[in-house]
Amino acid sequence: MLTRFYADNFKCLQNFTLEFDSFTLLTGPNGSGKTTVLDSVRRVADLLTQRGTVETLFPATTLTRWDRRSEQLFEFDLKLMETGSGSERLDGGLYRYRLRISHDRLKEKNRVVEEQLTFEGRKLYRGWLDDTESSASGSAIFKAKLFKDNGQEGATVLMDWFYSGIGRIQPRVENRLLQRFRGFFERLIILCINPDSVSADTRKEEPMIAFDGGNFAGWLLYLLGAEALACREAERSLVDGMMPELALFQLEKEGTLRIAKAIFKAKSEEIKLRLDELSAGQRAMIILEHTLAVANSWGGAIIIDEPANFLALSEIQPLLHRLHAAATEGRMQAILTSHHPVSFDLFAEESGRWLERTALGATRCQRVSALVGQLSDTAIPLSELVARGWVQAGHGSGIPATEALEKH
Amino acid sequence: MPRACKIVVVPEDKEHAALARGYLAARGVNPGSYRVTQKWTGKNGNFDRAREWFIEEVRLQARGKVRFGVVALIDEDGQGLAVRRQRVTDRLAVLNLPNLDPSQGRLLVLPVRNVETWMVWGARWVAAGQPTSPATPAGFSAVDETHDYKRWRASDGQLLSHESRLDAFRLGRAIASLNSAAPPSGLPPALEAILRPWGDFLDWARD
Repeated sequence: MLTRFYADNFKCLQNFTLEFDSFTLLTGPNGSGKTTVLDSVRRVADLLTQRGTVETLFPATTLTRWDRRSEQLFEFDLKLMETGSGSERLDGGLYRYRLRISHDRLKEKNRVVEEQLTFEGRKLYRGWLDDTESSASGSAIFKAKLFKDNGQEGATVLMDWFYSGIGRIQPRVENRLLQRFRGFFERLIILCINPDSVSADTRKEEPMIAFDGGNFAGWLLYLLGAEALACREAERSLVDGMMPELALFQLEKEGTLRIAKAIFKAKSEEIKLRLDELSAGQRAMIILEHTLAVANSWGGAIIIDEPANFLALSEIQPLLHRLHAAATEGRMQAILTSHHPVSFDLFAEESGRWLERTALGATRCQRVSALVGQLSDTAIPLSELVARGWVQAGHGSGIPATEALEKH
Repeated sequence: MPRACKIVVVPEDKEHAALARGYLAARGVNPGSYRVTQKWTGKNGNFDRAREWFIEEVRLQARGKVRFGVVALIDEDGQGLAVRRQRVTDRLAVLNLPNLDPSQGRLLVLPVRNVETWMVWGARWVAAGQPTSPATPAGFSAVDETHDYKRWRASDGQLLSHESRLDAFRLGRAIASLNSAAPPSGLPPALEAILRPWGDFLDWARD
């Protein structure tokens, strides 16, 4: 699971560290940087998995507006358990990943200047910008040193600085640790569901769901083949909860398109509804249930922005409990952002991280438990105290919440 | 700057909540500065629940970690003003909590017999042209605090004829417009008694 994320000079994240547990709830006021955290994680994951280049994923507009420095730095700590057995066995341990991106503000160009991956302190990959040994054109070049799983040095190769080198290395028997690291990000699901963007039709399989869930039909087409059991699990959960009349999902062929439809059965009647004919809440729940089932099956991580959005009150607590249970039982990792009082009262003291920033200031993070302090010993729900504005980090000055109130 | 609540309102039911909102709105209190708790049970509210919630707020206030005022609005319900009040003060004393004191941000508003009494007064007051002077306008009749204007029963059990009741929010605004030093005549005694404490409470909370 992801245990630490660091970002510097990315939007409102300046020298920003966030530590994760198996279940983590990110919360805080509007504009505090919660979605920016998700966005930065997503962009690094997309770079690592070749879904984009630094030019498309990290344009100059992602630099911190008030910071004159032209370099961005990102780090991940990732702890993975031992996997496989016999010759397939891979040790459990801690990965450390570091990515440095340099921007030329005048030319509006950027490039990777450093990329490094270690496992238990052992180098697996090191890429760097080498301006000592210039290429024939006289400009700097990006080199990468490869390492085998046993730590033995491999070849030094030239890399394209617009891409993550780790994402471009061919899988080999001697770099399985690196492949496992990359595989984690290939299966990292990051969602900010927008039901309006969910289309019912698709032309092809999509191996990963889009940030807004828009390509769910294509992902479903992929899952029905690759993760049929997880699909059944998601359907079962929907039948047990929001959609008791649901029979199954189908992708019907219409010309070159496949149309995702939900088939409902009540008594002897059968009704087929296109995905985009369902309500916003139903679409959101269908995506959430499939995400949860797939993440469980993959044993990976999911990061969801406001999972309670669009859902009926009766659906929110059961969903949160299931996410929490799956995460704490070690099947997957769940990182959520939420303002919802139910999520706050259930999980904030135990797993909450409070993000806050001043106007034009950088985001800072504190554990909710540390912030609440003596306010927590009351029968009044924590969400109520938050709604009253009594839980706040003190305008970035380290002032305890209550003193901040008095200043206010 | 993040907003922070300075007043917590503990109403017995939604009519009391509306009355408090109307009062605070008329006194220029920003809606972001107060918070109405909404934990009443059922249509008719619940004295014990409102009292316990109020006590919990006083306990939190007494810790001094956050400066805020707390006002509870609970009907007398024919139990007697002093008795109702004592049921709250006794509980505070048992828990070793500070007593009611509007000038220290702890206020109990007890409509007698219930908030509907004040709503009927409000309707009659509006019909009489909203007089603010102590002189009684012609044709104005005062409400009887022993009657139950909620169930339209007189103190002797006889049915009362139904009449208009002023919407609770507008009633709150009306109460805020009254001069505690020279209230209009015909004001229910319990309402008259609360005018100054409520003003003192607000002054403290605004400090």
